[in-house]
Amino acid sequence: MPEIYNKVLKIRKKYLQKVSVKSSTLKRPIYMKSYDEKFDGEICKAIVITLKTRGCAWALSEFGGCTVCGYIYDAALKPVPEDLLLRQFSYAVREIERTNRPVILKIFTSGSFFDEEEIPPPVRHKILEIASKIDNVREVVVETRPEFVTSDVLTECTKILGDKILEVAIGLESSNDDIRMTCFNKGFSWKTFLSAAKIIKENYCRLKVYIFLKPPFLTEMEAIKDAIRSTRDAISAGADTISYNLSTIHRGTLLEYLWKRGEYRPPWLWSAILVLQKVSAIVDLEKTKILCDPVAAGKTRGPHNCGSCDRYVVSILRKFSLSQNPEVLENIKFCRCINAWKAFLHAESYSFSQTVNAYETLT
Amino acid sequence: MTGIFIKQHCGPAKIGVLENDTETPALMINLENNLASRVYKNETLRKTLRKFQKHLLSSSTWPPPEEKSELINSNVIIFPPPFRLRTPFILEEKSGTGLKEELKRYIERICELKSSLNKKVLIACCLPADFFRTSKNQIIREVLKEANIDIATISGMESVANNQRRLVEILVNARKTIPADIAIHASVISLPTHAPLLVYMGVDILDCAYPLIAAAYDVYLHERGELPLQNMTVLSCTCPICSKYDSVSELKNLPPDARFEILSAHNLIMLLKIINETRDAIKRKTIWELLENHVYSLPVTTAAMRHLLLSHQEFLEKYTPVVTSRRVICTSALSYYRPEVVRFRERVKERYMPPSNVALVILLPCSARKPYSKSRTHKMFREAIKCGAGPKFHLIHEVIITSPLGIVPRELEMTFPAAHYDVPVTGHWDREEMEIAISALVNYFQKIGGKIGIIAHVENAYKEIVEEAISQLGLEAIFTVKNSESVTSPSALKRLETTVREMLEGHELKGGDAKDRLVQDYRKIAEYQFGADVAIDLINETSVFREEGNRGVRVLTEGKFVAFLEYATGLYKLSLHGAEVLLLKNKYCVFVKDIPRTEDITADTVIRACNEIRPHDEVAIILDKTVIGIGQANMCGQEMEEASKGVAVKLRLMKPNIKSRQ
Ligand code: SF4
Ligand SMILES: [Zn+2]
Ligand SMILES: [Zn+2]
Repeated sequence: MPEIYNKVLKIRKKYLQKVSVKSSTLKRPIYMKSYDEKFDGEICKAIVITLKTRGCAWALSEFGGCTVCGYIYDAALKPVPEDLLLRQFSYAVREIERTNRPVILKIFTSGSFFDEEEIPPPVRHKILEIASKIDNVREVVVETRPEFVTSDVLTECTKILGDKILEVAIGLESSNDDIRMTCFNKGFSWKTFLSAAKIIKENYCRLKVYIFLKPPFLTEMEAIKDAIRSTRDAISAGADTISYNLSTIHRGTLLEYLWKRGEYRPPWLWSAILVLQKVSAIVDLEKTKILCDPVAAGKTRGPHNCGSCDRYVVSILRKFSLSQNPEVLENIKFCRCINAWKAFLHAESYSFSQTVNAYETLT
Repeated sequence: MTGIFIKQHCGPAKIGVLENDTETPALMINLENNLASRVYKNETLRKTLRKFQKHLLSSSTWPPPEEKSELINSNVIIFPPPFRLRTPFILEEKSGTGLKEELKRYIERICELKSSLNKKVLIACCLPADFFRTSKNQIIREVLKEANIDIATISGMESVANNQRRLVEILVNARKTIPADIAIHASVISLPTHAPLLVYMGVDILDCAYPLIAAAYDVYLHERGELPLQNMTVLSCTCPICSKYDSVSELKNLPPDARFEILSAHNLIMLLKIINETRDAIKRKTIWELLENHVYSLPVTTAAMRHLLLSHQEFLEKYTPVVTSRRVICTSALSYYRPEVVRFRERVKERYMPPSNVALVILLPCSARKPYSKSRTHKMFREAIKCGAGPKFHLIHEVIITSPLGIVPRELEMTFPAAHYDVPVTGHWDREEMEIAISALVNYFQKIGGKIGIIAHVENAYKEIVEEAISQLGLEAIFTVKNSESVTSPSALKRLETTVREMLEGHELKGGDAKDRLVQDYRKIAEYQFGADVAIDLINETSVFREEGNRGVRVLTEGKFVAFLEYATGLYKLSLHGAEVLLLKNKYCVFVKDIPRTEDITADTVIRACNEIRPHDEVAIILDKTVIGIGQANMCGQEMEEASKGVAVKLRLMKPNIKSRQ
């Protein structure tokens, strides 16, 4: 059986050749941004910094990485000297210093924060130490694959951070092993995730789980159901925050390949609304934070509706994420593309494949 | 028992009956879906659909929605395919073992679930259209042959709705791959413009997806295409939904949700109407006429039809009856490739040999009246020819040039469809028709081999055809019609007569030649119908021909009644003696495992059937290596072997002693 990773690897290699020519600076982070987010009842300033590291170990492996992820093309692809990593981080520090509001500091790499090939332990210590010394930092969020989560590392991190909360985010995508393995080529099992979740909780860290909407090869409805199911499973595994990742088509990914063949359409924003509606009915929003902040919404490469209601629907998603108030999701203004979306769901109930809609491109 | 019971064919299109008595072509609706059930709330739509209850399927998907633990109303369950089967890469592996295993597991899981259900429902598996664009057919076929499923849903069809080539490749390939007793559901492609063509290619079930998508985008579906509501100027539809509205603007001004529901209902009724027309056309054997009319609505359906005819003739021919009681109407250029017509041309090329001992070939134009010899013009030609030939008439072979059959040798002029086709006679031939006739003529002369006397009593386009054909072969012909004359002018007829006389001079008359030629003429029909090896045993020098009124001719060979030539069809009906010849040559035989109890021999009793059998062919029924009866095929040979249900053969005659043994 030609495993899916063969294809992923092929696409990956081809595209890596393309991008490797333009090697960019290692002195600046890949990305930095700030926005408002609710944390323990108060609205904070969230600062996101994405450090340029060697890149995700999974994407660099002979398994080619995840089907939906193109972050590796932003990575350095070679070890980044420690001083440069710290220099990148200093951008975030400066950003924090500019505000006196409470801050949630999100330190991302295009991979795993706990992977020592990406962030060597001394750098990790240093970064956390700096963060621990800034008063208005309430919480530090890092992302990692579950296999890098060990009790030793977490004990050490929490020790450095002191009274600041550490949230560890894991890209679970789906709690269904078949979907995670076959559709995402994610390479870790539910069991691996569970043991990581356990360690995180035992160390009094918070657990954030990313859930992907919609996975490739699923119909829109299957994806909605899977997102809801995965939310339940993740919460029962101890998740404190659920963040829905509405798909965008990254370059050089299998997802892009499918998208170009007409076999994948990013989700409708209505689907995200539906997921939030269903989830907020079954989840205790006091205990679990539910986030959905779509990227590239309204674009053909991002989650989108008909084009005329996209902004409005995104504003609802943001409003909900910020307020955690389910009433935001009620009485949503009607757009006639709701019927188109439903007709999509209906069509896929016969075919179980991505419905190619000739009219969509016309309107 | 599962699957579809084949009632009747008209080309690959068929009327079938599913396990729950639903008659196909059928329409599937998923009432578990909120949107579909919302549309279905419309009273008028419901009333209309109820009339077609017999042709409606109600589907649901597996697993059932959590809130409904029971599958309440549905009679079909579609099982989602495992994700691996949905990846395009499963097809990339050369050996195909991965595909085979995955598919097997999927089907097995379905069958398990089916047996665990305490309710009788039809079971559908879902196969991506891409499966039918690879060379993995054999694998898919093997797995499905073992499967206990009723319906194969082909997904991703909507993406090829505008790609004529892929549309045809996928469906033809699917029908060839999926065993005959599994119904095919082409999903999300139920456009009224496409429906008849889809059914013609072997699709049994369509669904409601497309009409609702169109409605959501304010698109009005009609027989010949689709129209955005905003571009509509008049409301011409008189369906029970539309007739409630006085004008387009009234429709346009409805609130969006109401408009969506009305448009959906109209679109569904339109689709249903087309499906009904298609079903009716299959029953009345007029599917071709429907298609010839219908496919011209859109370039894509026209192109698909053409591609189907040009690239998949052998597929169409297999399911096309060798004879029907209807006239073969050829109104457009598509009908040059109508399967009945192509079959005639191919059989004349491949099975038929020109008679031996011929000294002179006379080429003649066709006539509107059929058979040609009954027409006024042909009566005049023959009189002149007979006058010129005298007792040497049997040394002449008359060949009629015609479109779209190419050429019709005189002895086949009664044989279906030579006496049964209608073309609009304009006297104008297009290039394609001419090419067809030229190639038929070239093939004919190649089979004669060497030089032979040729008279061409033709004018205009016919003349051009003859000129091109003989110049390709370096032959010479005498043209007996001058440019200023018509073929029936006295001077031309006189010239025909004298030329015949002159050209036959010097050809000796041998004793028995006339009788020999008579035998040959009757044998040619058998050659056309059964092939040369059967014909040579069926009709030989001992044969006697007895005309029975205007019904036909009784043929006795070696003193035994072997066959009856029916004038109406120009084809033979065999006697039990005749059937022995089929067994001897192992042609047109159906081997059964039991003595038939009724006139209908069902497919499940067929062990083996000869590959060349087509619907309505004469077939010998064989039990334990002996002929036990003769009948008319109702399916093609391959289908008889594959189908587990349906009438394979209609028995006409049974050996008396066998009957009494029962
Ligand atoms: S999604 Fe995460 S684990 Fe997968 S390749 Fe991208 S960075 Fe690596
Ligand atoms: Zn909209
Ligand atoms: Zn109407």
